[in-house]
Amino acid sequence: MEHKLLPHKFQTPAFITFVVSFILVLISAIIDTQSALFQGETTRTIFQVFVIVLMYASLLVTIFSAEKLEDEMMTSMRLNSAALAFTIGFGLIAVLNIIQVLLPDAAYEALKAWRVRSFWNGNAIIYLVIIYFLAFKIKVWNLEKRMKDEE
Amino acid sequence: MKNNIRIERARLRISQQELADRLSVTRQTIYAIEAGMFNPSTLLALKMSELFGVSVNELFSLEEDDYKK
Repeated sequence: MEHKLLPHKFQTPAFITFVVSFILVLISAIIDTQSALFQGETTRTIFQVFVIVLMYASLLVTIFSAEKLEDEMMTSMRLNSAALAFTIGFGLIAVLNIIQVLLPDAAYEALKAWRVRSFWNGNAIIYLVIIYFLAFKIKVWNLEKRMKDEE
Repeated sequence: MKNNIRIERARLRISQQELADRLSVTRQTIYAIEAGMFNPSTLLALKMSELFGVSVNELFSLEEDDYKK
């Protein structure tokens, strides 16, 4: 079946790059927050910008890489995963926003000061994409497991 | 929706992988169709019909629950 996805060989290296850069972004955000809280505002370093760009780029390559074999069932599973990601992601973002609105002012200001807040509600796309990818991979894994169990 | 793919495949004595190869799909897809986990497209159903030499209605049939959906 014809598809417009990247070759499968890109998937694993891109996923490893994403995991490493995601951890680096998280660590960097925590360190940066601590220094910002105690020493005033800090600006992003070139390294931080590079790692953030790498994180998004590797995530995009991961999700747009084809499986070993692509056919109509894979397309159907991708569509179902995208629908699931939208439902869960939208619900998650809505709940987090409601919690944020209900927070007392002091707590909200503390949250704003916390630079890791981008992992709280400021980064909807990354949540949706991760949920989509996990849902799709779980579906594929589950199907293969059922096939092996039956053999 | 139920189907007779497994029976027709046994009649022709071909494996899931062979059928998948002939239809240009994955073995997972054949397994999922046989297990009733996935409904194939009209195109794939017609290809199967041609390959097995039976009509689509003989391969796939509706169940009571399908009318309630």
